[in-house]
Formats: sequence, structure tokens, C-alpha cells
Amino acid sequence: MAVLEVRNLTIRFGGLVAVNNVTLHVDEGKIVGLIGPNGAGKTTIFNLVTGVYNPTRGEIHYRGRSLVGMKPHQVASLGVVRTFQNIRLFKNLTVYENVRTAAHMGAKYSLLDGLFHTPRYHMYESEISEWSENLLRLLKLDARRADIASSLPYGVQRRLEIARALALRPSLLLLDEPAAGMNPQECRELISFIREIRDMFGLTIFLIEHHMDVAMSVSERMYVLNFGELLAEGTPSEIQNDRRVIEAYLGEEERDAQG
Amino acid sequence: MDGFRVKFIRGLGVLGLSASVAWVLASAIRARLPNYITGLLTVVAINSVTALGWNLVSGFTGQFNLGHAGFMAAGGYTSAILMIRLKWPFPVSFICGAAFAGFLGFLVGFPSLRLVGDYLAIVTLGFQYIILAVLNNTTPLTGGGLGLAGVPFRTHLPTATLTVVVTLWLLSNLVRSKQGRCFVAVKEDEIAAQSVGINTTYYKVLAFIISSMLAGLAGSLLGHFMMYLHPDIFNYLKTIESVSMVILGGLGSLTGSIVGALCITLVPEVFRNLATFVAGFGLMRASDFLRRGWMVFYALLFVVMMLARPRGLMGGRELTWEGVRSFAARLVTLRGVRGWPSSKSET
Repeated sequence: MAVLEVRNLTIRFGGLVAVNNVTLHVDEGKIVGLIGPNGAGKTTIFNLVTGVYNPTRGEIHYRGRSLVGMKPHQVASLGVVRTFQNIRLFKNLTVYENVRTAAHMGAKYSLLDGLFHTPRYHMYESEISEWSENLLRLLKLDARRADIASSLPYGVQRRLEIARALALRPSLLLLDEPAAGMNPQECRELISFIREIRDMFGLTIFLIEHHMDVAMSVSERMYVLNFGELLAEGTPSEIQNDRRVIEAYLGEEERDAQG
Repeated sequence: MDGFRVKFIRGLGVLGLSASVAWVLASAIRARLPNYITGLLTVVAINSVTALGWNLVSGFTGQFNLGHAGFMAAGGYTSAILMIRLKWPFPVSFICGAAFAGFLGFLVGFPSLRLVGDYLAIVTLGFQYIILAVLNNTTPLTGGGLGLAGVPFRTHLPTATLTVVVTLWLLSNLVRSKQGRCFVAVKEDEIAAQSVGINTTYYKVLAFIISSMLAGLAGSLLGHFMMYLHPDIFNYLKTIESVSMVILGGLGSLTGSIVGALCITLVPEVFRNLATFVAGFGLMRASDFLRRGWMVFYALLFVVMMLARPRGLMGGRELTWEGVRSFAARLVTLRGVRGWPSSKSET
């Protein structure tokens, strides 16, 4: 069953058609990759799905519900949560505070409960603090729980951003270039990490990736985007042998000869 | 659930206890010490409420608000007019003043909080001038440029202190709740906050409303303390006063705001008394310099602070009993003070 269905998605910025007539779907429990050269419109698709932009045309359905016209926070509260290409943490907060802030959705108490610290406040707060602690343990961040987010090494910041997204108990996780800036060793760890969290939290994962080897080994299905249009789709091995994909990445043979 | 109820009752107990202690202490000061000291402490208390309000919206939520004095004026005039013209009892008009300021906060905040940084600052500053223009031109109701005289005296030191204690209790609860964490998330990174499902507009407007209500409370306390209101009291310098208190005490530190209010209120008084003291020795020129030149020291205080403690005296932390105790213990054993927030980690 498709968790996310995108049909004929188009967005224009003035004269530029950033995404043109893209149709794709992400199936429940799968890890689906979205690849393409720089400027192909991958992040734009994420921004459209998460409500940052409104599409010029087209439909986006999440579990049968249209996401078009929703604000980013509404999309997130439905269980579609994303990370960013250039990590966006709450930089001056600790690891624990980052996760706990994001766990606010589990705290169903009102402003008055918050002002007076009613029994209801204490009940939900103990729940979300337990949930945040668990999450830090599961993602092996508990040793760094009191560290300020901006002081963390790059790879750990990425993991924290994913932990923060998981704090919302999402069902669809959108990862924007999770391997950006990572060395081969970190990339290998990331691949198994993505599979692990998928199984642990019963997630569906849709990810943008620039590292071809990461994308190929982690994805179960892939979409290739070029100049805002869908170029190919299929399993990683199908994509690897697709002539149009090779052309888009390496250029045509004649042009290639000229350098 | 029982454990949670116990915690709730313990929280109320803390409020009850600190409120009674504050009341008894303030009453004793009022009864025993000279009026000058009592009055000064009342002003410190009023300024603390103002600073706490500004800290919530600008220190915690990161929305630079330059119209704070406008909301003070709204609260002060509302409460005063309700008491003078409609003969409403003080507690009711006091609350109504805050409610009206909060309502104005909603009206201004809702459209303008889409703006960020400098733009928001300019809009809120403009709002303050609108309030002053309205006050200056509604002479039959507010007395206009003549001022509003005959405001009943109600802000005794115990009343003002009680307001500070209750405000501090509520705010410290609030910043430790999900609402408080969402405020800080908005300040840290709005886009990230939205991506984790935080309705940033809602939390910005909420912070703005609560902050305006506190400004309204403070304005009302001020009116009932001075027994006179004039639009010029609430000019932009009044806002800047709150800004300096919060920055001196530390953005995002509630107790810092109170420390800041204490320092900023006392500095001119200290210099004034020093000038009189020096004059007593016949050093007239030195006395004159202190009397007129204290602003230089005031500015110097900030320059030194910016160099030594760029994040304010409290550096974003809170003054707690535990902190005070360990600080005192270290002082006694002379082992160096390590618990004190250091400026090293702040760069």
C-alpha cells in the first residue's frame, strides 16, 4: 500500500519550472531513494510534500489525505517528518533538550496546565521525558545527552537530527541527503543505521541521496530526477543500467569526448 | 496519578510559602524602614515585572519587541480609569488592565509577528507611538497631555512584591513546560521548529500576549504607585529601560531579569546618594560630576558587562537556592568559585 502518493506535481518559480509533472509513490515499510544531479528539484519535492511550498499543480496524498495547502507544522503533526540537507538543530540546546522539545506532541496538556504544573502536566511530562530518554538510548546518543548540539561532531549531529524527527513518532520519515559530508566509513554506518531505525520504529523512509553508492545500497526502489522531471524509476540494479540515467550523470558519449 | 498530584500540591506549596514570606518581609520593611527605601524597592518590584514580560517575548522567544512601554501605558491607564471613573475595586481593575494590554498584544502581535528581526522591532516601536498619540488626544478620558491625576494609591510594597513572586512562579513553570520549550525552539530555529510540528505563529502570538499582559500589570502598578499618569512616562526610553534590565541580567534568565531590574533601578540612586555624601565633605565639583555624569558610568557598566559577561550577569542561567548554597559554601572554604557561570563557555 502506498503511504505517500504524488501525482502530476508541478511547481513554477516565475519562469523556472523546478518540478514538472512528477508522479511517484512510496510504499509502506519501504526505503525509497530519490536521486538526481544538482538542481534537479529533489529538495523542492521534499519542500512540496512538507508544506514549505504550495504546488502550482498536482496532488500529494498521505494515507489518502491531501497534504496540499497544509502548513509545515500540520504535515509534521500528521506523522510526515523530515530532516534537512544542511542540518537544522536547536544549536544552543543540549542533545536531550533537542529531543524533548520535539516530543511536545506527546504532551497533551493546555496552557493552564503548563502555567500551574497540574497533575496532568506532571503525568505527560514524565511520559515524554521517558520517551526522550528511551530514544537517546536506542540511537546511542545517551552518552552525549548533556552536550550542546552545535558542539557535536558532524555525524552525531545528523543522528541527533534523525532522533529529533523520531521524537514525533512519525510513520513517514523524509531524509534529505543524510550522508552529505560523511566519509566512506560513516556512510557504511549510516546505511545500517537507516535500516535499523526503519525496523525498530516501523517506518517508511523516503530519502534524497547524492552519494550514489549509499543510495544504491540502502534503497529498495529509486526515482531519478533530472531538470525537474522524472527520468527513471525502479530497483537500484535497473537504475544502474538505465541508459538515460547514465547520460544524465555522465553526459552523452560525444559530449563526454570533448571533456 | 497520586505521585503527580503530590508534585502539583508541592508546587502550590512553594508558591504559598514564598508568597507569604515575601508578604511578611515586605510588610516589615514597609513598617520599619524609611519611606525612601520602601519606595525604591517598590520601583524595583514594578521594574522586575516589566523586565520579566520583555524577557519572555524577546529573551525566550527571540522576538525583538520595542513597544513594551506601549503595553504598560495601556494597562496603567485602563486600571486607573476604571478605578477613577467607574469606581471599580483595585483587584478587578488591576486584572482588567492586564487583560486589556494582553488583548492589544493579540491585535498587534497577530499581524506583525509574521515579520522578523528589525522589521518587527520597527512595527512594535510604531505601535508604541500610536498608543502615546491616542493617549495625548483623548483628553476627556485620559487627561491627554495634562496627565491623569488622582490615581488612587494602591501599590504598597507587599502588593508589588506579591505580584513579582506570583509572576516569577508562573513564568518559571511556563518555561519548564512544553510551551516554554516551544518558545525557545522558535528562537533557536523557526524552520526546524515547524519541521517538528511546532505552530510557530501560535507560540509567537502566545508569548507576545503573555508579555503584554505582564507589561500591563506593571503599568498598572506604576500608575497606582505614582498616583499620576502621563503619556511621556511611557516613551521609548521606558522600553529601553526594560531592554537594558534584561540584557544586563541575561536574556532567557528569569532571575536574571530581577537582578537586572535591581541593578538598573539602583544605579542612579546610588550615584545620587554618593553625590550628596561627597558634597558633605565640601567636594562640590566631584559631587556635581557624580550628579550629572552618572550616565557615563551607566554606559560604562554596560561596556564592561559586554566585555566580561557578554550574555548578561546570569548568562542565561537561573539563580537557584542550590546554586547560592554551593557558591556560599565555596566562598567559606575559599576553594575558588567554580559553580559561578563562567564566560569562557559562552563564545
